[in-house]
Amino acid sequence: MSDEMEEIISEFITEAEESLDRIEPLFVELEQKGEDKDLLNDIFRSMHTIKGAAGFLGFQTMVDVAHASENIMKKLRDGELPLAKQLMDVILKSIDMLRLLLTHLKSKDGIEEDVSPLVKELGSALNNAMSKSVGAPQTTQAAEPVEPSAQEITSQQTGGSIQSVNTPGLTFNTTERDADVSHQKTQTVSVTESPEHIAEDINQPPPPEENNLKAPEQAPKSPQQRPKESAQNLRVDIERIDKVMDLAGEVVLVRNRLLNISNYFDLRYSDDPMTETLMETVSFLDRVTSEMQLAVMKIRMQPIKKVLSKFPRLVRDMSSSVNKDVELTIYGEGTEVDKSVIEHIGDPLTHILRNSIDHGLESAEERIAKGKPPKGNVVINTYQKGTQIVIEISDDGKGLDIEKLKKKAVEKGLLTEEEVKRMSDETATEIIFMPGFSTKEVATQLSGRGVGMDVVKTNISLLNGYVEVSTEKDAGTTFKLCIPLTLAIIQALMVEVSGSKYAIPLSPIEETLKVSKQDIKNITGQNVIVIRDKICPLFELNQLLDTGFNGHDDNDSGHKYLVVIAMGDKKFCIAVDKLIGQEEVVIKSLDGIDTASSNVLGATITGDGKVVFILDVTGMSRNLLGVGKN
Amino acid sequence: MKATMEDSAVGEEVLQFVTFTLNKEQYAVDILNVQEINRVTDITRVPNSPAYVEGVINLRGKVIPVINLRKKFSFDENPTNETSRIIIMEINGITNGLIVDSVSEVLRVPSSIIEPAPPMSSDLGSTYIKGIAKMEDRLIILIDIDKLISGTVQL
Repeated sequence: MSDEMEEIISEFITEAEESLDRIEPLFVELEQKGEDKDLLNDIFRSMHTIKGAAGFLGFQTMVDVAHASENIMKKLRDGELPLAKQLMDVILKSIDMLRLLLTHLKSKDGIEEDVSPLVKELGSALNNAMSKSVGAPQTTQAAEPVEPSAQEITSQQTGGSIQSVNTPGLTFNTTERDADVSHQKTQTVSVTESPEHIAEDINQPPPPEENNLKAPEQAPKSPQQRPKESAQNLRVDIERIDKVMDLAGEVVLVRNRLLNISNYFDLRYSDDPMTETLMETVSFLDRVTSEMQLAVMKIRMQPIKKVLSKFPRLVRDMSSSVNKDVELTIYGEGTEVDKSVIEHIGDPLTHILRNSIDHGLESAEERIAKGKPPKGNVVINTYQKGTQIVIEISDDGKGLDIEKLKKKAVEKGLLTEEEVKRMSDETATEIIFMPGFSTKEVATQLSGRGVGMDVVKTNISLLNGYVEVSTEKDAGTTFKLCIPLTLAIIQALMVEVSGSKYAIPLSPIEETLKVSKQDIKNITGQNVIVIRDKICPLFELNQLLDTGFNGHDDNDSGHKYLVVIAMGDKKFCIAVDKLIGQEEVVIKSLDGIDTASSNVLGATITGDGKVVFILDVTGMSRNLLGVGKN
Repeated sequence: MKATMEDSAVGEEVLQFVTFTLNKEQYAVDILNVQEINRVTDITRVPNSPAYVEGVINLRGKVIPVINLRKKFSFDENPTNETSRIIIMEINGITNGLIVDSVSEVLRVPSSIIEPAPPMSSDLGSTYIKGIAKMEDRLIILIDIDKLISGTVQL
């Protein structure tokens, strides 16, 4: 394949994926809003574009799938078919198939998917729907001209919303979202109205060029028309941005070195006028560099919508598989986060949503009995708080049953009776994050296998973030994920042990202490320290890192510095020789080093050009205490 | 040994190698793998790593692992000195450094004088030997750098 062709194909893949990402939530919106011409047109057009481009490039399977679902879309758009869940299901299936085909294309694995069953399914779904709707009053083909003064409005029983309007050459369909097709019996109401009035009644008239609307007045432009994406956007290869990012990181390092050097000159030659000039220049460079770094980081920021947009569909599928009616509301989807966060946040969010829908929300009957509306609510709220991004997932379900959690944890042997008794309600909510924990007696399709929530915790801590759970009985549960805006730079505490420096990520550090060596006790071979009446295990950093610790302390001060790490409700201390201070460090990846066994998650380069390792405290706690062990 | 067979099949092809000394022996690596040769700078030790991983260095803002070939081949340890060098190589997209006693020269070797490695006791690291170049006055051990690196670091 020539380079040019490859480029065209990769562009096609990107565009097609974007189109699919964009239209998928529209289906769910469509189901909720009822038949909305603009939405239908939008979806239809995107599907058509994909089909066209795929045809041009010779991807026949994609064309077949797109064509078959487009057929249905066309009928829906032209109002020849009412919206039905079965149709939605097959169209969504075809979108999944298109995605799969694109994935194969992208990875160039040459795997051919057999699309014929799906195409057949799409065809038969269309035929079924067509045969059902034949004879139904609302699907009058607009072949025969009707007297313009005698308009026929077909309204649906549910709330009397306009379901279809037959004007000469035009059929509108607006259906209330209704999961059960058998309820879609419609009642025909005949009204005589002036044509202008009708045009007003139809809340969202389609753009005139898309159909042959013959109403005397030109339909006004839809107010809901999507604003045209600004043409000021530039599509740039991510590698180029990463390169700029790397270079910016290097400039930061050089700046740090320059700062060191200029401080040295300032001390030594403070009477030389050039020193002052140097200091000024360097401090200007310092400011510009910080700004540049921020600007470059912003390039990588993307709205979290990229992840959240798949959830309406996901919730729709999940809720129908457990027979619950769930409404998902998303706030703050424009909040921008680093690309790396976008890539890693999807799975944890999916697990939490699944948990909320399956465990959190009650069935409709239960909800009614409790005096709640039958429809369950799940809200995703995203906002920025300082340098952190906060994602809250709340449901208005039954809340966590603390006693049940404790009982289950003991039954499964995850905790002892003793431990459970000592737990506060707050820490007990952490039980759900324990590996192997599940309250469901039977594993359902959705959940109950005891994997999932621990994955949430692990993934979030990989992002240097943390999870909080708050719950209230019968009022609901809220999961709060706090993640730093970017993964490229972290706040770290610099420490020194046996003459070498290490960086410890700041987020899991609870406090630092200076203790006298006599306070360190040894219980059955394990060093411990008592902090405010609580016993906390203590580990020597140079032992953890195997840096040639000889068992004797070189530091004779009689004091030790402790870094207290909190992982969930477990705490441990790391003893170091010196605390140097807090620093913002740029994380450099470590290619070629087995980071899993070395207790480091990356490295950074300090102002003097030395490499300093960033410690992986999450990994350490897993090794030391078995927290979050799989 | 596949590479060697291919090389000899081409006939009088001339290969270029960077030669270096290690424990007074002459070794060589394919010049195409070599990115640059540096003096030994500050090396930061990697926690909990095998002994032959000397540590990591800062190569113009990139953190790259450095392997001590002496330790890898179980030779006597020798502190690095003035002649010690780090050969920076890129293998499978990952940049690594190798610490050697000294770097000698770039050598052009006709493929016809390269012989497959004789069977040796395996603990001598013979798995990493691609072949032996029989020069007029000496033997040069050609290192299979792909195998050495992939058997050493995590790819």
